[in-house]
Amino acid sequence: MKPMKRTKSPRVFFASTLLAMTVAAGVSAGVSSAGASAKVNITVAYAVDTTFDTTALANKWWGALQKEFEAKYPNVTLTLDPIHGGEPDFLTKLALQFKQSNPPDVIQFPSTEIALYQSSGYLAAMDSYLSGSGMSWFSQFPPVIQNEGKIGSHTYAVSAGENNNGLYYDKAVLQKAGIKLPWQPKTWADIITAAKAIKKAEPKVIPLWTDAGTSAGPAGAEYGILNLLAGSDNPSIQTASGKYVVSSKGLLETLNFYHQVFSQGLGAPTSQLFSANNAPNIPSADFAKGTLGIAVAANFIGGNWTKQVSFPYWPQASTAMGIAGIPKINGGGYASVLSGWDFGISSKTKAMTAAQNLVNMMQEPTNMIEAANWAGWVPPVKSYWNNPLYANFDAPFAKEFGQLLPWSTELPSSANFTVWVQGLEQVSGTLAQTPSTTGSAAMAAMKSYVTNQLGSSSVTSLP
Amino acid sequence: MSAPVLPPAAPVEREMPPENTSTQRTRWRSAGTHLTLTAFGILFLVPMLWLLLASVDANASWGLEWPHLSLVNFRNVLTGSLFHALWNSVVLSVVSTAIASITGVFAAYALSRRRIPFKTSLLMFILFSSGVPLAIMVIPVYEMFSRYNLLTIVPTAIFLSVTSLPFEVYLMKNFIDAVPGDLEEAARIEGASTFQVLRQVIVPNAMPGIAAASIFGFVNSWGSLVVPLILISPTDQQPAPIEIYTFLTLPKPEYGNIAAYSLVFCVPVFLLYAVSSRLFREGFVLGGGVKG
Amino acid sequence: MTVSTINADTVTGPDLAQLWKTRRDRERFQWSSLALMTPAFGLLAVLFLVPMGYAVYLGLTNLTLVGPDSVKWGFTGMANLIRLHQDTTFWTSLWVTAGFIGGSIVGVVVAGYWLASLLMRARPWMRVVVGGIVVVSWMMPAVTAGMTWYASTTQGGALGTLTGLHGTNFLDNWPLIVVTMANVWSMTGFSMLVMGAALRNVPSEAIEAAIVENASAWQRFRMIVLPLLRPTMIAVVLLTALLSLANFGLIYIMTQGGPGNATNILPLYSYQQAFSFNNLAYGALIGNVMVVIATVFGIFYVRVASPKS
Repeated sequence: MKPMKRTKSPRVFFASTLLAMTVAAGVSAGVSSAGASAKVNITVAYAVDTTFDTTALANKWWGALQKEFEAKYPNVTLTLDPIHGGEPDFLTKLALQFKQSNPPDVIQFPSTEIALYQSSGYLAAMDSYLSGSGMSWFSQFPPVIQNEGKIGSHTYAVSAGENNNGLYYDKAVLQKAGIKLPWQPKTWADIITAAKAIKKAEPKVIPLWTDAGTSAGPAGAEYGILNLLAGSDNPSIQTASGKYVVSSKGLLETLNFYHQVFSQGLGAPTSQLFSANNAPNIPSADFAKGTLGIAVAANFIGGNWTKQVSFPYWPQASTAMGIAGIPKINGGGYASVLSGWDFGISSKTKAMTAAQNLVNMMQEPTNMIEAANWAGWVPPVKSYWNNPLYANFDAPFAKEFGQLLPWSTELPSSANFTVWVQGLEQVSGTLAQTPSTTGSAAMAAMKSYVTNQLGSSSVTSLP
Repeated sequence: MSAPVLPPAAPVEREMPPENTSTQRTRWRSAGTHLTLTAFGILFLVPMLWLLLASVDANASWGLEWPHLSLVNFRNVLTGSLFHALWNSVVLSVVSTAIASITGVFAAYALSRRRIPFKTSLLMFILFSSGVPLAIMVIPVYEMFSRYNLLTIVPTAIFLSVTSLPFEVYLMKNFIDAVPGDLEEAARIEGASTFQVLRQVIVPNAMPGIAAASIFGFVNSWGSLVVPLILISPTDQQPAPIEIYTFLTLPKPEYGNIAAYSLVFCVPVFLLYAVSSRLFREGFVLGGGVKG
Repeated sequence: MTVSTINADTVTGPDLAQLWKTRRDRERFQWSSLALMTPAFGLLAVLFLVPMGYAVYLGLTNLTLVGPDSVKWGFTGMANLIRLHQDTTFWTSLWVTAGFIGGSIVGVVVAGYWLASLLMRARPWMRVVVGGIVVVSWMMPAVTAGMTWYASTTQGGALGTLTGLHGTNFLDNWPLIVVTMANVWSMTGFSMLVMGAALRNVPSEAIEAAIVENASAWQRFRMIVLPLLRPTMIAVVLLTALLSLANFGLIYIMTQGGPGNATNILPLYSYQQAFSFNNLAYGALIGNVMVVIATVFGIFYVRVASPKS
């Protein structure tokens, strides 16, 4: 072994000096960048995979918006923050971002989260800006949609687009089953009758698609079971005092309907219903293949058949398919729940004007309509419905869903809603997987789960 | 935490008990052995089959089908944000391994050679914490990090280094224990400082153990899903496991891409294990691979 | 002064003290040891001990992820513990976790031993091929293993194709069994290697003698192999238990804890409560329960793994 010097290794000295210099450089860089630039920077966060029909379309819309915005406001940089994953993951990630001291300035998020975010103090009140001139789009929202973002006396979010729901049916399948077209069931019993007829005439076709199971999160329920509940004899989900309903005539009727569907083999297989691959989109694929008769589904399904979305591309969709409103249980009208995506501005933003300008730009006719086309929304501004850009986008049935919009009702917006929906979807999944389960057994299981999770002071039973 | 089990040394051919070749029994036994082994082999191969076939299939689906051979899937996943996620994985794992290995060597050396107050308790603590899955501590760490805006890739790498640290220290200490004291004595007599002793004597001689510990730490960080899922906030800093999970939730899953990406993700792990098995010709370390 | 120059009759107190200082059989504490220990133990203190303590506190508060309680929150005493006691999903999760761990242990030990003993008797090429396949399956990261098993066991996947049951959704019909099998698949490799090494130490003469005495395979196993293999098996059992308890990625990818709560093991339930249901504090409490369980396993692990010196 070669002899070693007693002196400290020069390399150690060099390394530690280098380290110190790097740290100093890093610190000073951080300090200097804070005050140096006069340019304003705002960040907008959104769900890139589950808002628009495809991720590619989302990137297209946001990319074009970024260019337009930065061109109009040259002293502002717009940073895009696309959050990946399904809706539950997006919600988690967004919440994590807001825990930090520098959350995104503008967000696009589901309407069911508004109350939650507002109660944490995350959202800025938008009233003063919305009542200003140049914001004519807001005054054209139907009142129910204006109130979507209203908590107390202030508005904290504005709708970007709405989803409502209806019944899709394959004309050829129904014809073969001897059902008269155009089909518009008046009661839930009519739906069952039609499904039974389909099953008899065409055993290889799934008669009726209704969502079940927890894999799609709250969104699955919003495009499925909640629409039936909305048409039942007691559609109440949350009482005025904020308690969640865990037992009611309406819930029982809904769960009994599910029992009827699945115990008679009229529903879709669990492999599709429980699919992690975003089950709500599956009906569009099945219809195109001719393997589905009727579906309770959202308005964006139509857009899936356009060339732009191609899930799959089915040009004959507008003639091969028909739309009906989801009837109330014993007739007397239609039912649907309204769910949508909204824009909000962070209360901690340091660039309020720029943020407001961004929201304003996103709500301009071209931008809003393109978003509606590519995300399968109904634009909340009524006058846009007749805009050729919206009417001519070859998404079938946009007009029909617009007509069904007045029948739609809002959903509660609170943290406990997620838990309540989880309880509901757990039992809908059980009904699908174990068809011998009765509606009352399912409701009892849901009551027990939700009460257990939320505590008995937060739930209530209605007649 | 547990260490990777490294494949044993090239197996010594054991003397089989002298076969009574005339008995049916041994022949049946041998046939039975090989049949069972074949069954096992197939059983273990089946899940991997899909991975291999779908990754080279231009029109892949969940099913097991003969592929339309093409490399388009690999081209898709090695570009853009998917490739960036792989790069993030590399950053995460390299930083975490570097921190754990360097701090670990120092601590392991001290525990091995020096008089440390409460040494036995510290060693017990180290051993005990290698058993506790530190990844489940992620919620309080999340709370702490979110307060100081540390929900980014480097602090997460530091936390990951801590999750592998106990076992790495334990492993390295055992190997340093095995380095003969006289080598060090000789160096000290010639006037070497602690740092020089470490660099010139300890590390080269305990290298197999240090390498094994580092590889364990790397694999631990490379495969971690829950820690980056919760602790890394900006989407452009997320590592590959999160992308793999995201694939599953897309409305139009690209099966071929998922398979190709998963396969590419496995490659560094396989390479490291191949390398490590070479380092362990003489020995064999007890432990287990870390998942989760 | 050295030991050899001491004259026992004339040695004084101070002399002995001086000698004591130069003893070479007793280590002196060096301050540089502190510098060596601090980085690692400092990190462990800050990122292990502190979070552990913080988790104990957090579990007894009402902190939420979003909402008013995420901004103004505080200590709530026993409230969360009472809730835990009454939480039926928690007890379900505990059972599911126990089933998952138990099934994994049985599978890993049996499969590992079986493979190891078969491989010993097999031809070299078979040893390489089958041994190689099993080891490769073990090397796969949990995320990839989960992905491949999901693809294989969902409707129309590899398992369906090979068994001809195209319409069966194995994963959703028998979720706990399938994820346990996936877990066993991903851990058998190491068990096989460990047992194989231990089996090599079983003296062949003892086996031969037993064969000569017409002992059955079971008797050979019980009398000779098992006692020698016992420490190894215990280590395998403990490691499997610890790794299965902490297993998040595999099940999260395959079922996210569903359908219902069928595969909602504790780590997933903790994540669900904290991040899906917004109850960060309650999720931390469930995490604490996991740490307690892991500690119990960890204590056994220490007893087995620490050198018996």
